Amino acid sequence: MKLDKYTVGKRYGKALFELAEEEQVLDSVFHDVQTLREVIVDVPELRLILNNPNVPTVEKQQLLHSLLQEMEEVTRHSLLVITENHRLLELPFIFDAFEEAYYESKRILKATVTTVVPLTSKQKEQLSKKLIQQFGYETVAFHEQIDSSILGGVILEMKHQIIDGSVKTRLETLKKALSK
Amino acid sequence: MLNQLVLLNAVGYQTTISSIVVVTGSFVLLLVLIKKFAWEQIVEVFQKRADQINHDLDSAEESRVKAKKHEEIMIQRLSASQLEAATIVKDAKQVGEFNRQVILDETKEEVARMKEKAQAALLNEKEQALVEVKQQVAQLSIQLAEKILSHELSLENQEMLIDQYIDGLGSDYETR
Repeated sequence: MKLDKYTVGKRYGKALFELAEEEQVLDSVFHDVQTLREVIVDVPELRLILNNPNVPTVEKQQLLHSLLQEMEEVTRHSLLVITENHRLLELPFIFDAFEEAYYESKRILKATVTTVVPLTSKQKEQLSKKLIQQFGYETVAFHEQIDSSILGGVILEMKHQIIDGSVKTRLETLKKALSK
Repeated sequence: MLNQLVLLNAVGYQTTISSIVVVTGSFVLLLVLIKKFAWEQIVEVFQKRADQINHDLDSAEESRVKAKKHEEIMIQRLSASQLEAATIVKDAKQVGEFNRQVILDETKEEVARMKEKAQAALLNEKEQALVEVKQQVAQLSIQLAEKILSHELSLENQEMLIDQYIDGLGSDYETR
């Protein structure tokens, strides 16, 4: 049976998390994962090469080896296994699953906030307080996104939930009500 | 001369008698012969003829009676046929009338149905048009609102909206 990318991501991500926890290098591996995410975003060609089935696995491993030199043993080893098992396509989902497990273990609520203008520090603090109160976490890690198409207000995404308070959505709701 | 005439007269007288005798004799002979040889045949022929005539007369009477009977039968049949024809015509008229009524009723029903259908279609179209107009009005209003808001919302307004969101979190907003 062919597994979907989410299931694959969950399995490998959980394995990476458990290994890092066992080796007591959780924070370092988390840092490595963040760095790798940035590298993949900054160098899109890297992703193209890693996803190209015509590039031999050995070459991919060599490339990763040079990239992973400075990283934790656990990260290096896991990435090589992922490459060997031809699961590089699912890398973003593996990182997602790892991060989720990491945040859960640290009682950190990861939230993506979309606004038209950046949140002020006061707003962040207030929002953080509200979310901690509501969801029972110790801290909140915000990932901020600026998107003018939402026209105003906030869209909050966390723990597979979306709390939509954007002006655009309100207008859409109004449009539906007017069309009836 | 006179003697001659008397003689001649006497001779003539004798001749006439003999002639009468001969002729009479011949006639009698003829009658005898006829009686002997041909009478029966002649009587038979006449009898046959009489029988034939009698027979013909009887046949004619019989034929007349038969014809009379036949005529009566024919008259009876004709009456029966006329009665039957009248019944058939009456029945046909009734059936025709019934069919006409049925067709009329069906046509009326069909027309009513079509009318109802047309009215429903018209109503539906009207409603559809109304919905479309509503949708278009809503679409245009929202587009207009989006355009105005994208240009008119100041930084203060944006921050105010964010503050409102934070205040209402947990109660005012729909989660999906």
